[in-house]
Order: sequence, then structure tokens, then C-alpha cells
Amino acid sequence: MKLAVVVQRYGSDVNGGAELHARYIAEHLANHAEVEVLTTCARDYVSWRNEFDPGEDRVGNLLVRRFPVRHPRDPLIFDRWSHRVFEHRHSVAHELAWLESEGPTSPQLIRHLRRNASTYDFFLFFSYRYAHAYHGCRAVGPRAVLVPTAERDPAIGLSIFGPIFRGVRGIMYNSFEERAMIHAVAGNSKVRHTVVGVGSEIPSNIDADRFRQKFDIQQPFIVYIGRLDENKGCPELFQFFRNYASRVSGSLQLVLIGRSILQIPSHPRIRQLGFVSDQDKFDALAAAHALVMPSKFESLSMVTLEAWAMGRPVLANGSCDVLQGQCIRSKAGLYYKNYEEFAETLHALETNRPLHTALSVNGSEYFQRHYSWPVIERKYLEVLNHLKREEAQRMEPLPGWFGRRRSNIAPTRKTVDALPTGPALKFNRGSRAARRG
Amino acid sequence: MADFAIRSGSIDVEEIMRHIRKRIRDKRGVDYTEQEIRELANVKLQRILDPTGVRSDLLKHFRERPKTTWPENYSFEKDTIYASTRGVVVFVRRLLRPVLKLLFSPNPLIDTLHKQSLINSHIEARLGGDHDALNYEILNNLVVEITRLRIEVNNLKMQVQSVNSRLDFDERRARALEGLVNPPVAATPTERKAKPDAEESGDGSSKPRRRRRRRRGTRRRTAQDGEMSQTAEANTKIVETENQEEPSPIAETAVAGSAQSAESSTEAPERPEAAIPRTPADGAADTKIAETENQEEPSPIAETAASAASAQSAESSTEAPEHPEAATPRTPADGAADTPEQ
Repeated sequence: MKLAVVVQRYGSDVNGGAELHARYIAEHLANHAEVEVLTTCARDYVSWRNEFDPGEDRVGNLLVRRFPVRHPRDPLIFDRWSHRVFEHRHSVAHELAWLESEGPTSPQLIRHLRRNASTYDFFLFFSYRYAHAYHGCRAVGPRAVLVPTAERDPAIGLSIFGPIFRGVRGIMYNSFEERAMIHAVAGNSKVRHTVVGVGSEIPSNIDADRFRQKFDIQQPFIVYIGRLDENKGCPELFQFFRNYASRVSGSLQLVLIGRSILQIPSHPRIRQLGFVSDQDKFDALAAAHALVMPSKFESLSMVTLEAWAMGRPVLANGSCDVLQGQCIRSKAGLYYKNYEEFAETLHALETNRPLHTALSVNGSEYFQRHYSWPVIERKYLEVLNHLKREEAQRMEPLPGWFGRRRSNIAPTRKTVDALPTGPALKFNRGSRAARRG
Repeated sequence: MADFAIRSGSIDVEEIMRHIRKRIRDKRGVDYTEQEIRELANVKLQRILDPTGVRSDLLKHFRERPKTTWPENYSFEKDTIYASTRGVVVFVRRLLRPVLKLLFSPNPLIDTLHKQSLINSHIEARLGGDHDALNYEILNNLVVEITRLRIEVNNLKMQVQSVNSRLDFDERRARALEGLVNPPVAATPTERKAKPDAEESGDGSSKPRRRRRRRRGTRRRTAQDGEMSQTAEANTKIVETENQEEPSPIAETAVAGSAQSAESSTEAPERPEAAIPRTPADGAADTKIAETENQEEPSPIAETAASAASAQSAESSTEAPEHPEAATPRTPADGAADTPEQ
């Protein structure tokens, strides 16, 4: 079997969620099939500037073909189009203009996909919302398998993605909540799919003491790992933790790991370590009392899975359906929606040793059962083998010239607000049925 | 509670979250529903709008305000733009209407003007006839908000009372514990034995009295200075005793300030749970809880921990969590809810 992983950015130093996800999947599927990576020359996901050289490259054992991006993203134009399609009635043409302004637009990549579609068995497209996935899925048609990595943001309500969700051969969802959301917005429950997620590369020599010595942290601490960004819920976390530190706990610290694009409050018990190596990250998880995940928009949260792999409970933002659902299914984390719940749950994790231990054990078991690499690889291969035996359907075409210009699409924010919310806890049975069907 | 043991498979995160939310609700005190607030607000509203009340001229004042004069509204129908008093003109216009429509379409214009006349009528009606009703509505909303604030103030008052009573009790307890740490010398068994010997010897009757006086004097001075070792030792014990009560994590600064000032001499931990509005029953419950002190029921999670810890091992029992919501009144239903969910 020959597979192509198509992703917006790729490299050993590219650590975005979907990109890392794609790299892990490509590397592990390479044990079972011939895998190539098709990507752009961009390294930065905001500007899409061409930073890698176009042409063939090798990352690890994998062949990577890079194609240049036609133009970098103009944030002003992108914001304007986003406002237009998210907040106002609009047309398909407007949505396509939004997609073009978001990027990364690489006509050469799409041309390569169209010309060489028959030389691959399947193409795994990562991140539905980018131009490469939209045009790529249309270019390769019946060979497209999508890994949407969708979050609950207004982009999911864009009408141009409906035919993609309904027209690809298979979809690999990250969570039951993501699947419920896409089924609700696109009505694509008949498309073969599975909820699979992704594993992680856990180093073998993890040492909590090494982390404590290296960063001189002796007190118990909870850790946040990820981009320090407003969109990730960091300001709310800082506020809640400062309140908690001043009123409840006398010793607990908050350690922040990751690049910061906002101001970190100066507080004696908030430590920012910046970007650290993978080894330090896992050492930090081993040393931490718990992982805190304040983001409201997550399609999976790999770092949450890594915390569970390390046997650490998670305190998640309950406003994120995916995180709440994961905590409930795994029985390995608590969640909050306001300060009072934050304080109570964190206090319980801090002081209740048996609860902490039980959550830790559950997390470790949950990761092994659902996110260990043999499980992930098996799920991918099962879906791909099924798809080989099934007949392909044609993807719905775009409307005609006049149809694309008719402003009859409701603001997508309204569409997304109308989608069902909450954790999708009763979907296990449904997924099996869908797979059988 | 003893059979509530945490095993990894038996944890139900949703159940734990329900417990946590219930505790938060309990600590908040009375949660008035929107309907209850409305009912309360209506009672107040009648009193305010009573003509014999203080502001009896309020509505009258509003009604007597000079009314704004608006230009008269027009009516615009389908044929208004073709209308004329002369029949011939109307006929010619009707005849030439197709020619006119070739040049431009008057329909959107007619439609817009028609709608505008309707809107004008509607606005006129609202600003004219329903003016008083609008003001009445505004007044009503104001009263609702004031009532809501009153309820909140009442809750805060009750909460302050509760904290005061707790502080009083703490002071009494501190004095009692001080007495326990430094018991009267005469009461010790060794002195009870020594006393008859002294009486028998005949000359020793004044010595024990003198000693006792001296000690009492010392104690008084120590209490005043607050520096002597005995008092410090007593304080340390009080701190230890109080540290057995884990503060609830829902900390509130306003009350913590007053509590801190009273407890600062012993450096006892803050009681952060106090600031959430509490019912009058809380005060009584707090007193009872404080009296029983170590018989307080822990939080669902803390109970879980404590029972699991005692069931599991001696080591874990020493690490059992402290009880965070010591002063939170609990209902029997709590206990029932805490019982196993294997």
C-alpha cells in the first residue's frame, strides 16, 4: 500500500498540534506501508512564508516533497473575510475567498496531487480548514481520507466543507465530540470513519528529580504545556490560579511550558519556563501534580493524552466538550467551568491522595487501551483496508458561477451556535454501528 | 462513609463533579430562583406605587410631561403615486404606466414608502399611548434589581454574623485550650498527694497557697505579654488543632480579612469559605460543628479520601486529606449521596 500524508507544514521542528499528529502518524504507518509526505515550504502557520526549500527532502526515514506557497497570508484581508463569512449572510464565492486568504495556497501541490493521484492508494489529508486539504480532497476525489482535527469554531459551519466531509472516502476523527459535531453540521454519518486520535512518543528515561533540579522547583506544582495564548484560555487560568494561591493553597505552584504570545503575570508562584525539549516536557509531567488544560477549543489535546500516559491526572476546562468528554470517558480528570469549580477540583486533586492516585491509574490505563501505537496503527490500517474493498462515490461538485455568487448562506457563527453541545458519551455504540454500516 | 473506597475502576468523574457542584451550591446559601425574585419584587412594587405612599406623584408627574408633537403620518398604498383628483389624469397615468415601468421599476419605491408609513404609525403608537406603560416597566425593572441587591445584602449580613459567631467561638476555644495546656497546679495528682503531707507537718499550710498565687500571677503576666513560653506552647497547640480543619477552597477575601485579624495571634489558617452567602441556619450549624470540632463531616471527595485511606493502609491514612469544608453545614442527603458508587 502506498500512502501520502498531506499536511500544511512538516518538519522535525514543527510542533503544531495537527502537524505533530501528522508526523507521528506518517512515521508509524511507515512500518506497514510505503509513506510519503506532501507539504508546503512554510514553517510559520500565521504567515505561511516559504522557509524550506522546495523539492524533495528527508525527515527521519520519510521522503518529504515540499511545494512553495503562492502568497503569504495577509492578516488584514483574512480578518475581513473572516468577519464577512462568520458574521454576515454570504455566498460560496465569499467562503472560497476566505479559504484563499487563509492559505496555505500552493497550486503546485494541488497540481502534483491531481497528476499523481493514481500512483498512491490513499491520501491522508490533515486539518480540514486549510486550502491544501480542501483543494487536495477535490483533486484526488475517491482516494482522499480526512483527518479533520476540527474544533468548535465558526469555520466548521462554512458550507464549502460540507461536500468535503460527505465526499471523502474515510474520516479519522480525534474524538467522539468532534465526530458528533461534524455529523451534525455536514450530515455525513454514512462516510466510513473511526475515532482514533493519536499516540505519543514517550521517552524511556523520564526523571522527575532531574526536572526539579534543572529548573530549581521544589514545591508541588501543576503544569500547563502549550502555547501561552489568549485563545488557549491562559488569562483565565492565571486569574483563577492567583485567586487560588492567595486564598486556598499555600504551596502549590503553576509552571508554564511553551512559547508565550501574551504577558505572563508576575506572581511568586507562577513560573514560566518557555519552550523546553521533549525530554524536559515529559520530566515536567512526571514531576507535576497534575496537568491543567484551560483551552476551550481542542479537537484532541495531545498533551492531555501525554499526561495520562505519564500517570498524571488532568484538570480541564469543562467548556470544551472534547476535554470534558475525555475526562469522563477516561475517568482520569476533573473539569471546571468557573472559579469555584476550579478551586474545588484543584483542591481535591491537591489534597485527596487516593483520588489523585485513582485518576492517575485510570489515565495510564486509558492511554494504553486507546492511544498506544499498536491500537492507533491497527485502526488506521483497518479503515484503509476496508476502503480498498469498497466502491468510491463522487464528491458533490461546487455550484455553478451564479450559484456561487448567491448570498444565501447564513452567518456561520449562527450555524455553529445551533449545533448540539456537550460531551458525546453515548457514541461508542453508534460508532460500531456506523462502521458496520 | 467507611465503605466508600476509591478504586480506579469505580471512579465516576460525573458523580464527583455533581458532588462538587452541590457543595458549591450549599455554600452559596439560598439560591433564589428568578420567579421568587419576581414575586418579591412585585410585593415591593405595589408598596412603591401605592398612591398613598411616599412617591405617590411619580406616575402623575410622568403623565403630565409635555407631549412631543410629531408631524402627521401619511398613508401610502399601492396606487398612491398614480392618484389624482382629476379622473383624466388618473386615466392617462394608468395608460402610461407600462411606459414608466420600462424606464424604472416603481414597485420597490412603493413598497418601501408603504412600509415606512406603517413603521411610523407603529412608533407613534408606542411613543404616544404606551408611554406610561414603558415608564412603568422601567420602574418595575429598577425595583426588581433593587430587590435582588437587597437579597444579596441580606445574605452578606447573615454571612458576616456567621463569621462573627465563629470568631467568638474560636476565641472561647482558644481560652479553653490554654487552660487545658496549663492546668491549675493544685489539680495535678502529685500535688493532691503532697497537700495532706504539708498539712500534717503543720508549717506548710501557707506554702502551697503562696506557690499558687505566684503561678497565677505568672500566668496573668504571660497572657498580657504574650511572650512567655507556656502561652506560646498553648498557641502552638491551638494552631495544630485548627490546622486539622482544612479551609474550603472557595476563598473569599472580604471575610477572610476580618477572620485573619482575629486569628492572627495564633497564625491560624484563613477560612476562605465564609464569603459565600449563607442562610441563618448556617450560623447555628456552624456553632454545632465548631463544638463537635473533630466530628465534622468532610467533603465528598475528602470523605472518599479519608475512608479509602483508612481502609487501605496506615500510611495512606496518615496522608488522608484534610477536611476543607469544616464549617459547611451538611444535610443527611449529603451522607446518602456520599455512599458508595462502586
